[in-house]
Amino acid sequence: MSQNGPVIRRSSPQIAQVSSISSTMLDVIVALLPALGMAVYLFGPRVLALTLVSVAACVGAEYGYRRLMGLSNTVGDLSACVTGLLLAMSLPVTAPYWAPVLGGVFSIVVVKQFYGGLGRNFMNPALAGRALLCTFPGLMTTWVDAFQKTPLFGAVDAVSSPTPMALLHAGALPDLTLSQLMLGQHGGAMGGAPVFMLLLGGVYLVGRRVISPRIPLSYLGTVALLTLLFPRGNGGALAWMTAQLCSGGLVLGAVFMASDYTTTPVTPVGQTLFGMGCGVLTVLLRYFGSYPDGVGWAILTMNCCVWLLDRAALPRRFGVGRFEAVRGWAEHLRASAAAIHFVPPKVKFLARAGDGTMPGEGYLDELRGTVRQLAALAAVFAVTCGMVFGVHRATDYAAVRAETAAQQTLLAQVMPQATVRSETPYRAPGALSITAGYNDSGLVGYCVEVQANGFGGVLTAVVGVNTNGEVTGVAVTDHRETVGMGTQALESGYLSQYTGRSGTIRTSGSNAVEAVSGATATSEAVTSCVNQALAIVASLDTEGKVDYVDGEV
Amino acid sequence: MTAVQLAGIALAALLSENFILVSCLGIGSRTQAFRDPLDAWRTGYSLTSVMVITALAAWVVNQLLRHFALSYFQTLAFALTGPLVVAGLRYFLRTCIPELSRRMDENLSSVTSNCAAMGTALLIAQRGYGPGGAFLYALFGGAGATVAMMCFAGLRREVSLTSCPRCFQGLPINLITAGLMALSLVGFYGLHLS
Repeated sequence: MSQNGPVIRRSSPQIAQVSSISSTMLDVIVALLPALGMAVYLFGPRVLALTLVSVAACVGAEYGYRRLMGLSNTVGDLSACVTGLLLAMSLPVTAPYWAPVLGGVFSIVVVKQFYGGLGRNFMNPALAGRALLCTFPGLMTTWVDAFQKTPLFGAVDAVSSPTPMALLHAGALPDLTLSQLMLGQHGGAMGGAPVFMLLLGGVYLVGRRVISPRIPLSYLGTVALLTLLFPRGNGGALAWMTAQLCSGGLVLGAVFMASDYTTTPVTPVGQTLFGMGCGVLTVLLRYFGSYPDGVGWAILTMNCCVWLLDRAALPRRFGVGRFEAVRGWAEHLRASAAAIHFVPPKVKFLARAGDGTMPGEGYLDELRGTVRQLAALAAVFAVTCGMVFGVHRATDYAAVRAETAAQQTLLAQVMPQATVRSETPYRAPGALSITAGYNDSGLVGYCVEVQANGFGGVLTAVVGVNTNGEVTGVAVTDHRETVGMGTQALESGYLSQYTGRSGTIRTSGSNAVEAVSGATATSEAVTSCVNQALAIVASLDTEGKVDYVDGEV
Repeated sequence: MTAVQLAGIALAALLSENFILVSCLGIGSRTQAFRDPLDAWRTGYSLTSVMVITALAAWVVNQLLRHFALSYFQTLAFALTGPLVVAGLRYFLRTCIPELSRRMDENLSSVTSNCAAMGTALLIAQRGYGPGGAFLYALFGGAGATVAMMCFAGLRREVSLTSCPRCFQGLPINLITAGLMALSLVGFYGLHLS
């Protein structure tokens, strides 16, 4: 070999690596730009302002934290920019400017940097920031329709309208064509609406080999399959499936958040299981949960289970096929189970019965040890029982009096025309208890205790219905609604609008009550309670045979 | 109770009212259970078995108390039922199935006064579940607690908990991790099947 130039000696590897963390993140940013542009077109320049604030907050938080802790500056790897972008894109355009700042600082500092920075967090930072913001009542629930003018500064006064996701959550099919859904010409999260652009970005990322298509495909495939098998609304299964796939943050979450390297499983089987698990949880939350969109919560929950998934999918021995490992594991299980034997106990009563001079002295000796052990416990138990019994005897009357007084105030609230209440033995499905209210002129009506599902759990209410089938009053006795948001729909001012109504009360249209904006689930729960009570009283069977059960009224 | 209602109870016990992450009830005194995933699994299945037996026993005790109008003894009766069930189970395993006793005994002793078992009994009595509902609630509640404990222990294994500022190392970062796991379950609050 003739040497024409200097011999360059290098150590391996000798192929220059083009991709780095910053180039990968730059690819992700490029993939998000079409969606961002579409969002600006749909929702106005406030989108850009919010995105800039979010990115600045994330980058500033990362720089500030690393600087304060004396660590190396990692802002150059652009991961904080991506977090800021994704966080901003999952917000509504009506979000105040402090929201992305709070979410960004939380996601960068607590979720990412506290665990060691890039590549060492276990939860997706952007989604965790979004989840934190979701716990602020009212922040993530004001969605505006596309092409509304939302001002750059000042109070956002736009008309909030039901997004496709809200309609799907209520079981109705949104009235949009496929192209409208794909292009995002409807309300929703800033970056979640333009589905077509997000898919373009996803194809770009897969083509550049930044993300593996396994998780997005398994996620979207599971959601598609489940929504196809269990459709709702009256447009057919296929229309329901496409509407579900194109609404909410599903494509954004599946392509950009569920495919994050650090917070997803490493093994292929684990990744498929991760995608499937996300899909199942998303559909479960969309159908039965309180929040309209379950994508963020599903991905976060699966982020916590990544260790289990990797463990389930990891082969035990290197160089041996996976089924060998599974077979070995099953064999180990079988051997472990086979080691468990049932040993019949040797019952030895009166083992020492024959000992001692007197008959039974051996038996007493055997007992003495056990009695000595348990004597202290028995004494404590006896004293406690006595105390409970004594307190009960002393406070029994007072307790009953207080309970009666409470029931009387409840009656006054629920059925002001009645002066006396009496429990009835009538039973009806859905009624926890039926109490009759009387005054001087006879039976006024029935107070029915019913339950309905509110936002945070079960809501129990007592509804008074008079003999004409009209509501006399509503009182909520137990609820788990958000203080300040849902409880607005439980105040007496709101509940008084049910008085005098009859028939089936709806939330819109004829015979409607005005729902409290921001507390729709709670208002609907109260309305459902009232409707149940009206139906129960209308079909109450007071003539039939009454079975009195001992101990119950 | 209908199948949908029972399924709703099971789902609620598993996700929206997870004993460890939402109701914060199953956090026992055994720290090893939150460090080692295998120990978390053993504590989990011990807790599940204790919860199921305690739930059924407490349901029976509650019915007896209500029948004899002694409902004011409910707290005392449930407080005794839990440890008695655990003691009985440990005695039974020690005499009849020694291999299981060898594996489960220390985990069983740590769940003697676990709030999840006694909390199950009280919640079942308060909500008036039937025996089927009680069984499902305890079974899926225990399963949810097991998964939560295993995930937490796995996270402690895999995730570096010493990269935070020194004032956060130790208990604070553990609590933050548990809090982030609980944050992910906030979306399941109010989940209902009907």
